[in-house]
Amino acid sequence: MIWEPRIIAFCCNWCSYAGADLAGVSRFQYPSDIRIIRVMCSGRLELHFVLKALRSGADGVLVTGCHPGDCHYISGNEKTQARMGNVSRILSTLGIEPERVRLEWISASEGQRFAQVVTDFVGHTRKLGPNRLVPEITGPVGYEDGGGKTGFEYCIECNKCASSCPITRVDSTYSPSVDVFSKSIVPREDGTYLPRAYDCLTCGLCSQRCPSGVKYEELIKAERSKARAAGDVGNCAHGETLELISDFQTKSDLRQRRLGWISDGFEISSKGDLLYFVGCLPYFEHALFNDAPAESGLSKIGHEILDIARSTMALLNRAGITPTVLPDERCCGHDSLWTGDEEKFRKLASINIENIKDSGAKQVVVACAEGFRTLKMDYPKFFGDLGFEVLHTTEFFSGLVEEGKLVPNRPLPIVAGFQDPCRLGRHSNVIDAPRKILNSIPELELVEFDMAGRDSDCCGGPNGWINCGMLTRLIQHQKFREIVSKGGNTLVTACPKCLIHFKCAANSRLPSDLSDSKIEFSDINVLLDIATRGEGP
Amino acid sequence: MSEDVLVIGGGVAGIQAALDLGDRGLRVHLVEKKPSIGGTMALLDKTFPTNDCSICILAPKMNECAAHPNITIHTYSEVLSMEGKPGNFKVKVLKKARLVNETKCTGCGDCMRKCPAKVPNEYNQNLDERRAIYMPFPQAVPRKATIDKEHCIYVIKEKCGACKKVCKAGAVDFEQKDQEIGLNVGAMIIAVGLSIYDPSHLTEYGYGRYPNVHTSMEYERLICASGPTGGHLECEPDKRQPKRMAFIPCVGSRDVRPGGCSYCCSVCCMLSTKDAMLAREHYDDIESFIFYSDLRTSGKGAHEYMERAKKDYGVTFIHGKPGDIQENPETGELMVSYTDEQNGKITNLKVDFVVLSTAIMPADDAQKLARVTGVDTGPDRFFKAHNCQTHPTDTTMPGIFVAGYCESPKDVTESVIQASGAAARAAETISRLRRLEK
Repeated sequence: MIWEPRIIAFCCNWCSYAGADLAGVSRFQYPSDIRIIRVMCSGRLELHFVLKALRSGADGVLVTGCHPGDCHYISGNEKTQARMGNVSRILSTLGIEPERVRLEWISASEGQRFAQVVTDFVGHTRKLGPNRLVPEITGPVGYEDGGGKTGFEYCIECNKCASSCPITRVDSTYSPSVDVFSKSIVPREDGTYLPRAYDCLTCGLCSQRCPSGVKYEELIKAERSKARAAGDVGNCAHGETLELISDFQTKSDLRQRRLGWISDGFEISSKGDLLYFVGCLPYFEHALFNDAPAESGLSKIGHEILDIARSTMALLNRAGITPTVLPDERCCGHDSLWTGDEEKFRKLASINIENIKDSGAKQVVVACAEGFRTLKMDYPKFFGDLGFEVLHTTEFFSGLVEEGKLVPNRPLPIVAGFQDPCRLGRHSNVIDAPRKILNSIPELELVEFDMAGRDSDCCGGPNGWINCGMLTRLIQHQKFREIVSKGGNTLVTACPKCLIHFKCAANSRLPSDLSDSKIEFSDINVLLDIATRGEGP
Repeated sequence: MSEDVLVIGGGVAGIQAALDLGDRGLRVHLVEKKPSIGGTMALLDKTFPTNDCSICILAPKMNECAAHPNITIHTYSEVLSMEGKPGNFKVKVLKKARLVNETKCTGCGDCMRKCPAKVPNEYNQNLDERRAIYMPFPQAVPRKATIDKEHCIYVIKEKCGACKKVCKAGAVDFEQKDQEIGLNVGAMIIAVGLSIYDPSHLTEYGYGRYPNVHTSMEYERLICASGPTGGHLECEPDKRQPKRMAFIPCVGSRDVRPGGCSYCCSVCCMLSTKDAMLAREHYDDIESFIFYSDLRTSGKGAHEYMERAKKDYGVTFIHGKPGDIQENPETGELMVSYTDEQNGKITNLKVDFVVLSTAIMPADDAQKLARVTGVDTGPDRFFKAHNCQTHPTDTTMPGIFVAGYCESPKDVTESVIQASGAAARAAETISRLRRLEK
């Protein structure tokens, strides 16, 4: 059978769709390989529309809109253009041919041109061959449930969980204890799931405090996998861009080009004792915020987030270490695991473990709290002994500072509050290391939050970007109020996700009592990098 | 064969068992680890459900023990080893040197006033200080001084000796040595009592970090007229009288996390109720809140007691455990976060004083004693009853009986009942063996 490409075309209602119509009524011939989806404006197109089409098996994606200056909504097509730039950057980082996606301007009167564009694009796609990167995962597979794992039958309804929950604090209609109690009375195998399974932040404060040992996060994982099975994947704040990226990464023959951020000054090796696990940072740059209007400030976040990787790299090199960085590292699988998709987690994790073992690494450092927890705790849980040690950068660098291999001698006159990321502090008990680093920086004054260390309050960041909204904002505003009231001016954290969520909250509309406050945000690795760059300004 | 009975532990259960056996005409050896008998009950201010003064009802029993012709009290002593069978147990007891001649000491207290070495007072939960030569509490039995060798300046540096100089009876004897004595007994009763859970690692409640968060045992001493503050409640930092108090039962009990007790301690609902009532008895303008998980006030007069606390003492009972406590470091005020079940909202209750009713566990050295005697303990470290329904005072070893908290969670009343039961069982063992002998 001859292979015919399958192409999805997104056409704007006012120009290109009319152009396609004209091509039809004018009886212009073009290949029948495209399926047109009409959108009101090409500006409706989001990153994940394109990724989802490719993930679902499309061989090419054609996006068409009004000519620049002709947009029915004045500037919708300019946004399209910006986003398509990000799409092609994401695709090339993933190692997928960016030519599979094309943006064309076609007006309502250009029926002929529509036929030409389609013919040409189909020809090109035919040359590229079929899209071999359609992930093999069959769909969501249930997270292993079981009363023994979650322990909800032992709930004594003391409500200590609800009294601890950061979500309940801002929304009294949410209550972990009600969820746990309802699970213990509703039969388990009827396919129903907790209606607010996606609201939980899985920060784990409730489980830490529960006297009955109910593992609420485990219950939530199980409930989310049931929700997925029922087709409810929650509301993802950034479309499903990052989820789709990790979908592609489950392909074992994917060859990414994710090392673009490593500039000439850095020294890396392909094999060695120490491996730096970078995580999703190279994707954040293009996937999350770049298409946001410049005035919102969000557009900067993506760029700044990669500074964490650059600083980590600089610190390692400065201490005389040449780390291994995997060219084909995958998503650690944290978000898949915590949103109830165990199969995807297993696929991603097994590729990562194999790659890390191949590199000969004895130690793996991770600058991200989620990645750290996943590699350190969840990989061994699913795959047994890994044969390498996993360290968070704060653990590793605080050791180097103590040994005198990193000398923070440049003063940083800031008053910093440290946000213990839940996965670092509470889940992994890494509490002193970040404080050692901050206290070693001259002129940096550290203020402690009321709830710190293992009792740390959540940054408000939801798992897998799902159900990010007003509730998480309220939690973040509380955090801002606390640091302001303690006289701090910089919120420091050790997890890119915390940083992203905080910055995002700070860049959106703030309540009136916070609108004048000046809070800076920084990652601890970046601060240490600045402080160890040598004396002088 | 020996017809004597050994009672290990001089708390209320041990005292009751010794008195019962002594009254029957059996000779009793009562071994107590501390310098005085009395146990935990001697630490309590009042007892529920009558709010009787605890030491006032215990001290007569303690004195009766001391004066009883059939009872020999070995305080400051520990059981080292045991062998043999019912009717003929050979027990080695270590009688630690008090460095004070018990027969000469009159308990006048001159030495304690002169001793320069100040030591945290464990009887008052380390809330004040005692001296290195001390009597644990004024009603101590025997009323004899003891030198704490760890802190005595003479023992450490061979300088001082102030107590020796001042003692008119010439009782202080630094040459005294630990003694091993052998006892031959026909039956034994274990009544070693309890130990209290340390809530410091429950960071959410801030015990040890916030000065106005106390354990219930500390509260017993603070509210007691003979306690470190003379029965006055004071809040840091300005020593003001508290106006609002929160009581949190089940701290560390019904808690399956590592270090916690999975069982219900059976007393802390009543204990918290009592604590709240006592606060109101001391101060008219005090408001008390009890955050319970389940209110388990069973037993004679217990439910009525709780109703009385609500009605006559204005105690507010709130269902649900607080999530955490936050302190205002300037005023020392505490914000207790709990869920208001009317509307599901997390509510902050501002209080001046928090009392954590901490879990109660079998005594620390119960395990050691179990090894020495060969008696089995259960997973919660309580001594196992031979059959908890039909033989609740028999251990898994014949001739060895058990009474009080070290067998299972219980209050004073139940401890006394079980002690009398164990005494009867021990006496029955002796008389059966006596018959067989003839």
